[in-house]
Amino acid sequence: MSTPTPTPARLRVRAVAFAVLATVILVGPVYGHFLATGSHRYLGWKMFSRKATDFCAVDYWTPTADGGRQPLDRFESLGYPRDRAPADLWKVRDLRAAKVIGAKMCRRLGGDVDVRADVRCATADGWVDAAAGEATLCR
Amino acid sequence: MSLTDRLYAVVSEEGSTRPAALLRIGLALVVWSRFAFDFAAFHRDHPWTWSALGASVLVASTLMLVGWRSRLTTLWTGLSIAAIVLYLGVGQRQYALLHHHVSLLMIAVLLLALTPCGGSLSLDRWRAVQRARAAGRPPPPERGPQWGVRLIALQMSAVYLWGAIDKTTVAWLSGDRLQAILMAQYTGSDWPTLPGFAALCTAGAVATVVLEYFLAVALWRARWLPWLIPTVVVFHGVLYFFLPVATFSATMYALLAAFLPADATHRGIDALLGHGPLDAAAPTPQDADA
Repeated sequence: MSTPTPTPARLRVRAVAFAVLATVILVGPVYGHFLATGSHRYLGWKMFSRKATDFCAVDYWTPTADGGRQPLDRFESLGYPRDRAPADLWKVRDLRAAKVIGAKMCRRLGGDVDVRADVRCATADGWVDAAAGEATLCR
Repeated sequence: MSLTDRLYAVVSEEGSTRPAALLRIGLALVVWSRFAFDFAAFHRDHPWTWSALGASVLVASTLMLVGWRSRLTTLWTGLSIAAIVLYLGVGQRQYALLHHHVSLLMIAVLLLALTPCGGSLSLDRWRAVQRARAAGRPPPPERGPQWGVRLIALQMSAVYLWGAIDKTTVAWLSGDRLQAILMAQYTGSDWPTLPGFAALCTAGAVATVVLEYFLAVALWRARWLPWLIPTVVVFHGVLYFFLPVATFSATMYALLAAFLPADATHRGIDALLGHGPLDAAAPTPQDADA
């Protein structure tokens, strides 16, 4: 199928349409990437900016007599097989959830156990330290 | 050559309609892949508006796929996706319908309506050939304006360019963001035991940004396509296999057709069908860069 040779008027319309659309395609994302606020911040081509910003990396540990650290497995401590643990234990949402899990570990482990946690939370700006085992979670 | 002259050269350019036809077929299949399940009739909790929009997008994209009134049914498909994004995504706050892969699909289909996408490999073409035969004329040539295809190529370039700009941050280039993205899928809140995980993430993050900046520009060079296309296929294939990117990879695969030199693609398909030498698909000096 072929098209008839375009008239000068049709070519002008095409040229204007092309220029406008090309500008929107190339320059339009400036708004979402640099100028927008609120939910409009996600306009533009920011494919990974919102992914994986809803959880923390957590290491539970207990101090040893020589001033070292003994790692604690939260799944083992709470009696869950790793592959069948609740989702909020597998992926700890925030510092508050990390403290709640730590407190449960204290109750399960019993005695005068001292459970502490290093917590680093994922944000759009990278990892942010939320706790570095400063205090026991067993209270 | 002035900017205006270049602009008129682009909108005056004609070429084979086969790359636009490949885009039409590829994007129609991606539309089905993305929306067929969400809008199927068996979701009893969906109100009638879902069914109406679902029927619209699926009927339109089926007609787009077979190439019946191709530009019109492609426009219908694009407007149906726009209605889904605006009414269900923005209006009803169905955030899954506001993802970038849906926006990209919508924009690509709407731009495709500006191309002669029914000029080849379509019912439209079949009917045109039948009409020509009945009138005792040779089949009309499969040629049409290329400016709409250029806009689709520009859109794919813009996705790479802005994706790279968005990742040009300390958080991404240090590997922090990639670590979090992988951990969220594979290890949850546990630091991976893979030796060198942090270093691998830093290397992967930097390589991704470099590749995206490069692809944004390099895909326009026709003679580099024989090795750039496999690069794009591997890059998006890896993303598709390891991360939840939905139909984004499949859409990017389909959009690659916008960079194919139109006439070389035409000759290549002829050669595949046994109507020309097998090396006919190689771009010649006459095949301009996209």
